[in-house]
Amino acid sequence: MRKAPRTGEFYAKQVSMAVALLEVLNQLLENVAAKTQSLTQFMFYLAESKREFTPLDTAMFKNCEKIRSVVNDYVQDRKSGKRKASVANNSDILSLFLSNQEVFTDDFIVDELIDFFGAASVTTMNATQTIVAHFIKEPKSLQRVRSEFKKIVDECDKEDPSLNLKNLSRQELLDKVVTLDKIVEFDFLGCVISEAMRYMPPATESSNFEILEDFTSHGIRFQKGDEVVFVFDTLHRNSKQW
Amino acid sequence: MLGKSFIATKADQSWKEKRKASGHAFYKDRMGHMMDTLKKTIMISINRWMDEMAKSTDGTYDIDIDSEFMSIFARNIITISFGEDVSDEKFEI
Repeated sequence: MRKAPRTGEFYAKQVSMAVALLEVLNQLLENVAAKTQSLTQFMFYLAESKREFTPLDTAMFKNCEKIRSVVNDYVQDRKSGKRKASVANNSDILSLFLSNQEVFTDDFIVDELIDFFGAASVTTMNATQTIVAHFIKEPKSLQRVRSEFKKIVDECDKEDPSLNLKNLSRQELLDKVVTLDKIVEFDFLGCVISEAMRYMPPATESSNFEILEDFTSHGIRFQKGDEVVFVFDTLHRNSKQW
Repeated sequence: MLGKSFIATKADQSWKEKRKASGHAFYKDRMGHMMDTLKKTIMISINRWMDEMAKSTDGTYDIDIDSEFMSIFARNIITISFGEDVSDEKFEI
């Protein structure tokens, strides 16, 4: 595995889009870990630190600008047809944005792609690690997930013996059994995932929601224009409210 | 860096409109392709771990879960969001 270069080194280099994105992600994570406890605190830190930039901040902002320009160049290449999506049926998110250019402006597409990348990769990575840690601590739970998988393979085999599931490689088994229609049958695994989300939510807080009209709920008065944030981290552990 | 993206801005009317249009990303056929991408990415990593395990003298291979999972999910999300296939090992992540 490649160790991430220190801040600043990256900026000077011409790097591929994938590496550039990961670099900014690493820096974000380092900054969150070094200065704050959560992403929200990190946002506040960024807002407050506008008065006085440290060299690290300046380098990071430059990197952010660089990232945006790399992503923007890529989006322009796709728009002009210079590059094409390599995912089947153009089912990638950029193709979706480009197919509806009345709603999605260039700036918005860049915002959203970086958003999807940052939000989706770190959350799935953390959630999966929580689940793996759970399986290591609770082998019985892992055993149950494996039994469930075996049961579903047996059922598929009975339903359609022509699949010949007994003699398949791991890859073929994955392709034939773990399908979008079948995954809903993995009840216990679904519970493990839900519980992992509750116990260790990969996103601890929601985005800001704007109240559009005055109303009162549970004795709390909300006014038009108020902003509300849901804090999943504490809500999930509060038996009175959850 | 995130500009006016979904997670960095408040949910107002313009957010609602864009959120609705983005909902198409999670229609079933797209989800199916996303799942295929994920399966492909995961299998590349698993096969590499298996190869390393077979090569070692004691039949074990230590992995750093953090960096390995980072590699799997970052590749996966790049493919899903940008439509760029980075499953090739030549992309170091």
